[in-house]
Amino acid sequence: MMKKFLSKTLVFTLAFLMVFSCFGPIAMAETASAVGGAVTGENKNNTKLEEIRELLNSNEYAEYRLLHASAPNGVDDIVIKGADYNKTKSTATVYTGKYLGSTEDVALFTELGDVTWDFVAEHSGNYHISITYAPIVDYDGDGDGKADLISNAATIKRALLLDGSYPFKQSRYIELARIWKDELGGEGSNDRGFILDNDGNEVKPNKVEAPEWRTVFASDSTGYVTEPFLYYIEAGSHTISLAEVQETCAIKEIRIYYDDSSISYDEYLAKHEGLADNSSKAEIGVIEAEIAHRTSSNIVYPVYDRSSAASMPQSAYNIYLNSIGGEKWQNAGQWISWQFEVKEDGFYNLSPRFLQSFAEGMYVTRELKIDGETPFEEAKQLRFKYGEEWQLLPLTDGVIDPDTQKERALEFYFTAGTHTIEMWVVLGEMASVLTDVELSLAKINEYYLQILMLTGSEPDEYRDYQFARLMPDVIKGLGAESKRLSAIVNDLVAITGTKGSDSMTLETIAMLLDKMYRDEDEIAPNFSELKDYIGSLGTWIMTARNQPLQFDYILVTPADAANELGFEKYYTESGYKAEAGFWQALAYEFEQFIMSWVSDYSSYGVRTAEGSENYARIEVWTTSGRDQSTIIRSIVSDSFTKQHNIAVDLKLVAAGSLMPATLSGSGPDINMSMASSTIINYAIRSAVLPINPAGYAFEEDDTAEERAFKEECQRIFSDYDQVVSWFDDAATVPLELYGVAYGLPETESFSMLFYRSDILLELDLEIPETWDDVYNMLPTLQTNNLDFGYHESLAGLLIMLYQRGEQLYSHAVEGDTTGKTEGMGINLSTNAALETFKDMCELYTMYGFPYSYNFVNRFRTGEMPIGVQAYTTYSQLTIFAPELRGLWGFTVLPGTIRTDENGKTFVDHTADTNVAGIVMMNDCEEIEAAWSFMKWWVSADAQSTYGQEYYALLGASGQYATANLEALYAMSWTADERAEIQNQFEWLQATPEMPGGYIVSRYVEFAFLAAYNSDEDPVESMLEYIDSINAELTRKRSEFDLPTLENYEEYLANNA
Amino acid sequence: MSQKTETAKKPVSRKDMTKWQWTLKEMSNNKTGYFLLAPFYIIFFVFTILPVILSIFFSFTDFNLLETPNFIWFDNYIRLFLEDDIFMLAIKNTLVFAAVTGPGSYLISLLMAWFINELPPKIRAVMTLIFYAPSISGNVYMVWTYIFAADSHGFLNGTLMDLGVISTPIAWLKNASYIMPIVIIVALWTSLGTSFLTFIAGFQIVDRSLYEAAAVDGVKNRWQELWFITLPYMRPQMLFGAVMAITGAFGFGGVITNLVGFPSPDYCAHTIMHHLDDYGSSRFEMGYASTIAVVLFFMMIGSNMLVRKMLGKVGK
Repeated sequence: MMKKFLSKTLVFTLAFLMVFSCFGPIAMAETASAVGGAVTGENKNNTKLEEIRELLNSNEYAEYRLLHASAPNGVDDIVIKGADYNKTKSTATVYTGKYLGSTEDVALFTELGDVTWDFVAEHSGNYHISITYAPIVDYDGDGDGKADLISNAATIKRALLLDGSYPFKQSRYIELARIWKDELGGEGSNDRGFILDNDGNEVKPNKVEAPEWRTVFASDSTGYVTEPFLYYIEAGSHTISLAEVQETCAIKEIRIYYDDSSISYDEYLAKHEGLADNSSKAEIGVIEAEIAHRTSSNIVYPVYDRSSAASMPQSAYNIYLNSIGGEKWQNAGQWISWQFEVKEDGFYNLSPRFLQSFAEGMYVTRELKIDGETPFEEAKQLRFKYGEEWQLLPLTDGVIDPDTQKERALEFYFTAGTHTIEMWVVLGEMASVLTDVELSLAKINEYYLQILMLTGSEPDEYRDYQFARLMPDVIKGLGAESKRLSAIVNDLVAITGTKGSDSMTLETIAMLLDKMYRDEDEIAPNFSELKDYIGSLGTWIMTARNQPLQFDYILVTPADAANELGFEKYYTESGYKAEAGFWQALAYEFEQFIMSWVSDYSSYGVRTAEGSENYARIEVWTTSGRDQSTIIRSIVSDSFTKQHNIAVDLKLVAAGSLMPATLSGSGPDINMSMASSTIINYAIRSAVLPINPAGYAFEEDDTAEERAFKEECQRIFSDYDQVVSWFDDAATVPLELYGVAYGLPETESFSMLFYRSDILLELDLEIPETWDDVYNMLPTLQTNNLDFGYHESLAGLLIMLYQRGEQLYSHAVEGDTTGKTEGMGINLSTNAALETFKDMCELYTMYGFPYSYNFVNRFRTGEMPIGVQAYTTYSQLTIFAPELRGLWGFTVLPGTIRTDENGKTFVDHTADTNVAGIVMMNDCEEIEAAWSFMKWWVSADAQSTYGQEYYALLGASGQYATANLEALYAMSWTADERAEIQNQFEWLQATPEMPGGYIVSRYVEFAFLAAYNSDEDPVESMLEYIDSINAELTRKRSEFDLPTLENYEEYLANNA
Repeated sequence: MSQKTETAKKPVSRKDMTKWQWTLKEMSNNKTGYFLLAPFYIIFFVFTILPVILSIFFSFTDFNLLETPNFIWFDNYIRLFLEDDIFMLAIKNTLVFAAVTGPGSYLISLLMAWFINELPPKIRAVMTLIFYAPSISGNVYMVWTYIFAADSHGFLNGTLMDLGVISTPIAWLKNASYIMPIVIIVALWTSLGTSFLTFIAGFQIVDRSLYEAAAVDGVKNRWQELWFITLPYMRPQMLFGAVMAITGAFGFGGVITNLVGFPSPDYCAHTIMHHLDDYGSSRFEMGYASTIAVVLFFMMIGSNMLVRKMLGKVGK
């Protein structure tokens, strides 16, 4: 009886908890939004969480559409002028004035803050919103001759709010493309406009911004929703706002109306039927695709194809930039436009020679716009099917022509004159598939997390968790997702016509989910497998949404001409072929083979004026990847060599070749991206040159020759202080030793705090500001089987040590004017330091932080919703976890509360930072030339160009962690992200590199492992090693005649 | 000069010449042989003998890789044997490691080869490939890092946690108590390499008629056959296998580093190779590293001689 009562109570409690946990977030959301105003002032992070909460509660676009499906199409046509913004409600700094040839005043505004307009709708209904905007390169708002609004060359992103809230989630991510063009022509260019290098190869032209007014509909930036957004607007007065996300922007006009101009292909043909058609008189027109009119992105630029002999132009001897696109032209929303001349009115076919060897078994999709308008519905889904080789086919929408049993060739009507065509990357039929998979993934993730909170990440398969009773919805949901994925597989097969490896991924996941749904005992044993599948589903989405396509040229052919002969024959007769014939290909391959003995590929892009022997020549080594070195080489020849008349021999070498080369005297003048510890190791053995005047201090026994050399060097390096002002103060610390600098910082990395907003909200947690907050949130995290990610050993210790105002090495002793007594001993034996070490160890021993984990995976599944990671993890998360967009963020590290000397308390958020730098080797003879190279390379210009190119090469995963502050901030961050990074930059501290420093991390790790593995007392295990550390420091220091703990008194006496 | 012309006239005999002259003469007589030997010998000299001589030379200096070395006589040796505790630890580790894995892998190779040799030829070929595979596929031992991953999702941790044996993940490859056994297991697993193949070849060249003769002479079982006939017959292969096993055991450092990182926690798997690497690369003390290398060199030579002696006893 008693037992029954107990179990009933238990069930009741659990049921109550379940119900509460389901409704909890919603209930909380309501209270929170009620008090939202009060929270704002308190903590910026938590207002961010509020925003996420609002976003989480808002609908998906599909749901939003269903809600308003019955509403009529809007009949109003509301035009809002940009300059008529609501001054009281807007928080951004707005300038009004004429811009880019506009006849009326427009609104130009900053990245930060919102701009709001008022409007009145007379009829309720569904409306499109079109925005006439222009990117801003630089704009002087107040007429003081200084630019007030500048461009960071990133895509303009804005959130579109109606009446102060998001109608649906996707409205938060409206993208307005920048407009770019290639800088063609100029000195030394060929008739195609490309500049040639010494060997006659075409060199990639610079991309420059070409801002112009464009009108676009508010639409989905991911491309999942293929139609422009329809907003439901009720009759009455409203506000529309564009809220800060990324980049400055100019707005001329916002138009709210229902666009019903789209027509079908048949209607299009009928519409133009009666018009003059003289196209048969016209000659075949060729648009060289690489000579684009405009592009939406600076990473879509001319590339060379050396694979096919039929590419135009092509040569085995020289590199021609003969095509455009490829894997750089694959993201939804990117477009390329071309301008061409039509001689006669009439119907034409457009036939690109294209390479689509990227998406195997699939086709990729493009949308065609002629003079800014989509001619007909079918032009939104032009298909480019897979082929291993180049193809030359007329544009088609994939509909089979009943006469020829082939995909029909679409015809387009052009009037005589100049026309612009645009090709947009769209997802086509894949859009709906991707939307479904992404929704499904979000659901599966949610179920995974719910199960995880009950069972932990490694459930016990022999335990009966009673899933069916505790979480019936999850079980049902698993079944539903299994069915949804199976249905998607069928759709996918219908679209592609084959059942490829793509559908296999989805199918296996569907099967696993089904198994879990049918038998709840299968959940625990297959749980970790489910996690892996969630990962692969995310990867699937990432690859499936790419639509890469490469163009060589586009033929504009009279519609009738081809119809008589058939396309293939017609093209061949006109001299255009998809692929070269056997003999031509053979000859080409043979020539290439011969040329491979002759060509100096490493000198591609080298462009020096004649008589270049008179120039200084420096040798630079880099150990970065092949692609990176190609980028560096092109920036060097495009910018450095041109500006300074210094020839640069850039060599890509294997890591580890510097040491033997230096030893044998055949090393470079300059070595790039060297770790700070290596730099100091080389420096104390005089293998690299000091680069500040302090490194060339006169000594009494200098010979006249030495003195002259030092004077010269002091002059050359006199601008060192000015150069280092480009960096954070901490960045140069590890590259200097006792006041002498040996390297300039290239990259700088540090940790920040990453968090999953959705999970924190669900658990009603706040983003921790201090370590106390972290300790307070741990019980909640851990009762839900969630973890906090942190660095162990030295990395974790340094953060905590610096936040408490401690140092790693002992300071210089009093009375030492040279400063060389710094770092004689380790500063870990003080009470404060030992306490810190103990606290770090206890995070792992007492609080159960995981010692080893894959952060990105666990963050993605929600197992580790919060963690301290290198800030570059940002790019990894952006690219590998698309389903998490908007659900996570990063901010400054949790800090330690401290009191400054005036008794004021403050929170110390310090992170420790690591630096890699560029150095000048001891053998360098052209010191002045080498120094100007070093300065140029770490300058904002070179670094941001490299950063952009690197980003272009690797996509969002290629965020380059440059140390140059100006270049870093100019990268593609949203305003929020940039502010967070700037915040963390306020709190950076670097560990100086000291002789013998390698021993510290080693022994700290040993001490930590002893505490972690064998539960030894952290303080005692650390104390055990301190003598060994100090002994090694002393030994190493005496090797370089530096004062040591044993003999420093003598040293002080000598130097007094 | 005059002596040379005199000897040219007389009939040549060993007694007339100094040892040096005799050698020269023999060399000129056999110059074709030397000529054919030259390509290998030059390479061998430049890349093997010269480095040994050089490291003996550098072991008496304070060479730091980047600056001109100073001669410091026996300082390095004194420091190595009298002051360097970690070197002593490294010697201990190396000897323990070599003592277990050297003979262990040797015996496993031999026994495996013997067993496999008894199989029908087709199955034998397949089995040989299976056993040999781990050592030809380069870094395949890295699978052990996944098995012993410290992550709670690592194979062993995950399985043990599933079974309820442990409740928190164990950092197998970062825990001084587990590292040595684990690296020894991995070493034995990868050891079925070249020596194993040589043994298989060795077993096949044994003259079958010997077994018949032995049977007539009274060999009673397979063990006796192995000990008295097979093994003595394949002594060259055994010697080769032994040398491989020894150098393998002494030079296993790279694999250990890849498994447990460098340096191993609390130096628990720190071998002489690691010590050498530590000074040679992270501390830039090439002179000292050369000293370690010289010691390692003589240790290897010593154990080689020991093995030769022991192999001489086979079949006796």
